[in-house]
Amino acid sequence: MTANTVSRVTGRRQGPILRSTTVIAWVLAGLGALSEAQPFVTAGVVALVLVTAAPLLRVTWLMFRWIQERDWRFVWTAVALLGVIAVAGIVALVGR
Amino acid sequence: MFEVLLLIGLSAATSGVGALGGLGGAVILVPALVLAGWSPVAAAPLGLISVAAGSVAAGAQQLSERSVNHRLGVTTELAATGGAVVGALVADRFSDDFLVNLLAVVALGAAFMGGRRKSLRNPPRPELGIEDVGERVGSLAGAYPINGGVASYETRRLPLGLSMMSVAGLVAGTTGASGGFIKTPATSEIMHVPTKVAASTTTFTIGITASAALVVFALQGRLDVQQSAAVVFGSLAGGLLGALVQSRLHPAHVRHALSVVLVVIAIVLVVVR
Repeated sequence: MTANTVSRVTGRRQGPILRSTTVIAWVLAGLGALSEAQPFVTAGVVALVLVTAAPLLRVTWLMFRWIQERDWRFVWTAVALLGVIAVAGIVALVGR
Repeated sequence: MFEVLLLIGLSAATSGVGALGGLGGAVILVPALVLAGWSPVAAAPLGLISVAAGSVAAGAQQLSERSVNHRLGVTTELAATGGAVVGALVADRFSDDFLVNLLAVVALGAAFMGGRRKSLRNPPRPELGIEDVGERVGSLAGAYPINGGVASYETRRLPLGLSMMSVAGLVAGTTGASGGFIKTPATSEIMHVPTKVAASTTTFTIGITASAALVVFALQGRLDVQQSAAVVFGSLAGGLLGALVQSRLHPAHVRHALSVVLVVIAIVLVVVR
């Protein structure tokens, strides 16, 4: 593929998944905001995990799609980005 | 319970207003929380949660419009996330006074950038068709649909653009305000990417910046689940509502009104505390 090739990565599959994630996170967050009782806290944590993980999962998904397109420059850029975030998590964990 | 209702109301209102003006809600939410009594250090994670929720809520719509350049987003995000992580790691070492002043400067910066942003750079090209819409393999170029046609673009001045992304990330990680008000104008004005693509790509990337900083905050034990859930609930609702209303209002008028609100917030922050 050349630099003029239009990427096949359109995000069509991501759209419905993001819509579902939004609705599920919204319902769970509503429950999580209601009370500090354990089931409600669990619902709130799941909502937080969904909202926090979604952007990172989008990058991971892009990395695999770019591997399929053999666009190695951007595969490695995505790997580096996920690596920086992982290192930051480790640094935060060690520094607690 | 009053605190939770206040958080839901504030995050819904600021995310809605932020989505209307394309500035992101956190740049209004964090100063508002500080004015309501939260410390800047406690308000920062809540602002980032609002950013991540807004990014997720807007994602589906922007993907269907094919206005996000993912290659550009991931590339610029590498610089921004580095800045955000450093900001999140060192944020609790700054005094509240410093962070409040920084927030005021950030609000003024957002007001300035929001007020001066241009609306259209690249005109449609008749030789391009709908099959040309999308990003290009191996480069940061692309084409997007506009005014019934298709316009192409190429990214310029990447090193300068990446420097600005680092600054945006540092501001986001330190204050919890989305760096979107820096990223979108930098992508549009410095890197010559069309405003619509710049705004959509920024919405995608500020979600990543926020997630990276939130991972750090979660591991530092700085997230209150009930308060965070309230912000997610309010931000998702406000973001969706704001996006729906956005199409009925003139963006320039909304941005100018937002700029006035941000200037008032900055003045109140410095004077009232």
